[in-house]
Amino acid sequence: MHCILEGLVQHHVRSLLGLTPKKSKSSTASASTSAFHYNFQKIDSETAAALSMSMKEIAQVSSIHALLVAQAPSDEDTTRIATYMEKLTDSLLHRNMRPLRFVCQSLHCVPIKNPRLLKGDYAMALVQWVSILSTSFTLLNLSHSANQTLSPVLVKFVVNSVLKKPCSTFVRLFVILQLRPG
Amino acid sequence: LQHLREVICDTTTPSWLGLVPSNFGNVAAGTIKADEWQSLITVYLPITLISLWEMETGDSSFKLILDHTMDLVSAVYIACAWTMSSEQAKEYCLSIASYVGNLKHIYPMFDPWPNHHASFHIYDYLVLLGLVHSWWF
Repeated sequence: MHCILEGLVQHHVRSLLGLTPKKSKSSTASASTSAFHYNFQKIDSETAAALSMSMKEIAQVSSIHALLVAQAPSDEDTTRIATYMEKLTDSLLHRNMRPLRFVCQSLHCVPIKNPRLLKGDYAMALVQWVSILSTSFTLLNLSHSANQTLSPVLVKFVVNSVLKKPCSTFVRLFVILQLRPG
Repeated sequence: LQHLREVICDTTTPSWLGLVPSNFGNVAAGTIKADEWQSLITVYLPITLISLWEMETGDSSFKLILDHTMDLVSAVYIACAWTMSSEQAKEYCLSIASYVGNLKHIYPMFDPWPNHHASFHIYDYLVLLGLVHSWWF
């Protein structure tokens, strides 16, 4: 009978009817504060069906988003940053392949590798995305905070600009003008 | 969820009915036991969904979800009854078959769990062993 009451009933109430607050669904990383807001591409039912994603995998998309914008340690402490990146990689590797691939594709950071991409490749690509974004803001001497929303266009601009021409005053000015409270 | 909590607070129940925490859904509510899930699905959830359905009469999908939930409510109600007959066991089987059968239709992203399969075997136990309380410890 426990398979019905603690199995079917609990699953029906919590997962199907969604009678659970969002906070209690959060993972370890999403429990930490966000460093900034980012307008990630949300997954809709049609896309999920096309990618053959289960409900569990759909839920993992938002948890991956939370991991990517989680507060990283201070930029000056390289050891802590390295440890944080290792933990981030581990957390991402606990997610399924399909949600990792969807997030990579939505961020246009799909790794180029033949003959086929593994889960670790997508996880590393996302860690690299976080690392480049963090480095870019550090080089520009900018700080991003929880009340700021980074648009995908701005992030792409910052990353590309820093990779090509670090610490440009023009880039810094542009970013400051673009950063608006979320 | 807020409406469900209000129903839990406002409903007067007999003392023998398993209590569901009024802060259901919060981490502070702790782990909900089988007895409390039974009270929730047979008493509080039908009241909540039916009262919400009254407010959203134009929404056909809500009626679909309500009917589907009531299949599970019926199955739990029959399975946990203090009397059992072959007719009741058949009714249980029909209810759980309707519930599991419509899951994929209402929730296309749903993947069946082993518990959904196991729930069909409860019918066999009801026929062979009688009412649940005589063999469920």
